[in-house]
Amino acid sequence: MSVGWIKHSIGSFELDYKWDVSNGETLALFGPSGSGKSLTLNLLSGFITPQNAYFELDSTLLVDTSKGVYQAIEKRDIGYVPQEYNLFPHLSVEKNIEYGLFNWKEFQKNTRVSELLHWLQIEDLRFRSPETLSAGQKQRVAFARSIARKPKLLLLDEPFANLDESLRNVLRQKLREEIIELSIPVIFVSHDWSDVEALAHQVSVLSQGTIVDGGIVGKFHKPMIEPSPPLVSENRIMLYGNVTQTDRDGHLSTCSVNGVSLIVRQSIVNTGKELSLTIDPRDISLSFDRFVNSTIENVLTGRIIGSANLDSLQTELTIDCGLGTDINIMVSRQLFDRCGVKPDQPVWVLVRAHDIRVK
Amino acid sequence: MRVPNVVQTGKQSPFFIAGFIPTVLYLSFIGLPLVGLVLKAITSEGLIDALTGSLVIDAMLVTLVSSLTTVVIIFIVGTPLAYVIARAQFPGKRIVDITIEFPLVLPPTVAGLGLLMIFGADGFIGKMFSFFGIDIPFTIVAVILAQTFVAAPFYIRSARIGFESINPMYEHLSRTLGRSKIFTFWHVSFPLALRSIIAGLTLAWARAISEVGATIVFAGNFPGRTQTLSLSVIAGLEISLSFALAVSLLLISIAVGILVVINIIANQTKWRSY
Repeated sequence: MSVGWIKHSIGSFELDYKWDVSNGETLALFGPSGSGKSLTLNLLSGFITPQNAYFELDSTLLVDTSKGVYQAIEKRDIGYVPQEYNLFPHLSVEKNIEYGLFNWKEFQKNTRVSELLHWLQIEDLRFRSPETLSAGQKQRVAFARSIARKPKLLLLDEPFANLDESLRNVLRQKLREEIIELSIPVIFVSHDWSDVEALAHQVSVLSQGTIVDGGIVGKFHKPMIEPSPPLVSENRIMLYGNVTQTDRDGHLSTCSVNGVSLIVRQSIVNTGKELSLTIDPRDISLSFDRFVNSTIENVLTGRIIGSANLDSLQTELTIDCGLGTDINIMVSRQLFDRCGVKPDQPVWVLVRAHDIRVK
Repeated sequence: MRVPNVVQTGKQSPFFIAGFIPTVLYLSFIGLPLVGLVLKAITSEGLIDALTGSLVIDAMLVTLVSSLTTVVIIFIVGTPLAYVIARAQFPGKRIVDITIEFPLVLPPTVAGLGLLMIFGADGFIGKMFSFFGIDIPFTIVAVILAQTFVAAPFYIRSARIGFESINPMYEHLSRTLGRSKIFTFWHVSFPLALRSIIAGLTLAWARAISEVGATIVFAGNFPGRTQTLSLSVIAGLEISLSFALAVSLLLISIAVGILVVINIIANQTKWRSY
């Protein structure tokens, strides 16, 4: 069981949150971007030190700022799956999962890793490197890593945010079954009400750092707060176009943006309908050689019209690919220097259909 | 799928031409003296004799011993320092930053003089060592101290960038998985910054090998004792030009080797930044 409260301010933003979750129960923090959901998880896991807090887990006091109690992060027994999964890139899947099992005997480690891989149906990934995994596979491995030590509390930050819709539906169901088996309190953050309905027993609706609504899921209707998409950065690319073609079976539509065709993963019946499309620049990849025969639906030809070194690590490239608006993309300076990118050089802009948000 | 044809080909832009001419001029400025030196060295008489002579062999030994010791010292002291600077926020951090990078802009001869003032017979630390009968100036220890002084910022800067480029969430996750800060440093932060660390060590080593100014003031230029390869070029000019050319050829070969190593490291995907 986990109970506690947190009061924490960053600038003018003030978070005031309290919770009470029993073993086997799942609490969802629901709210728009900037409401303080992820901040709450970061404070709970110890990534950020809270200014005022009281935090108990299984009758053990972890944090009480009024008494100066602050249990070290490594002694809290909290499993944490961050939004980006953050698998250790230099370790294999197996080594990632057994990372926290340092005081276990070798055969116990092997058994536990095999058990988790089998349970999560990812046995074939055991010796793979994280960089070769899909987003869904990474989520599975990150989940396995977080529960390998049998934590007393599990925190999940937007567990499905990086997955496409079809995979989300499959994994929601699986995660629900897994959470039930764990029988520990689980707190997760989501901006998607479907996640809340699929996984949570109770929900707290956060807005601007405070609980504005909450209760038992099922007796509770979707709150009126419309969350904004969390993965879209401030530099998102806004495009406007019309539907030119639709493929209902494949759930794909083709839109014309300034005469350039873009394929989006959404079936839109009305040809000619006006759409607004949003692309997060982080979802765009570049190729400096002609890019053909790929599984990426959108390959646009463009040219580099500007570059600016932002710092020692990053360069911002400005690309014109005929969309009527220039695209600014951050690339690592190392990569930029290595590729010998020059102004006016042709470039191929790659965007997957499901990375284009349609409104 | 239709794609726009916006690629312009053929005519080069004025921007490209404006960059091309200075590039050619600069490359010629750097390349021609090196080519001239190499050509003169390999065609001069007595190249093999000079390279196998005791002066060069002694200088080579002093260079290897001093520069490798310097690199070890820089690694041991500079790694935790770079990590703290990359991760911690504390009052006066900017002053620490400036102090660490100061040797990069300080004339090496001034650095040598400063070291002499502290470690010399009348210096604050020198006096303490003298009490135990240990003299630091004009010994190989002085060579090592001078090299450390000028080369350390190259390593600390590179390692710091390496640590800064790691997403702190990796370190936090390691802690949530029960691992201590020290374990996390050695098993997460260090391997993820390894490429920057190796590149920094290689650069620092190169700087240590090429060091002259601080060393000649603080350690002198004594063959077999404090004379490094770089210092022997100066001494060689007084003996014969062909000797200086031979040692220069050796130093250029080492520099090329170091550049090749740095490029291999830069292209190693397994050591890339995360």
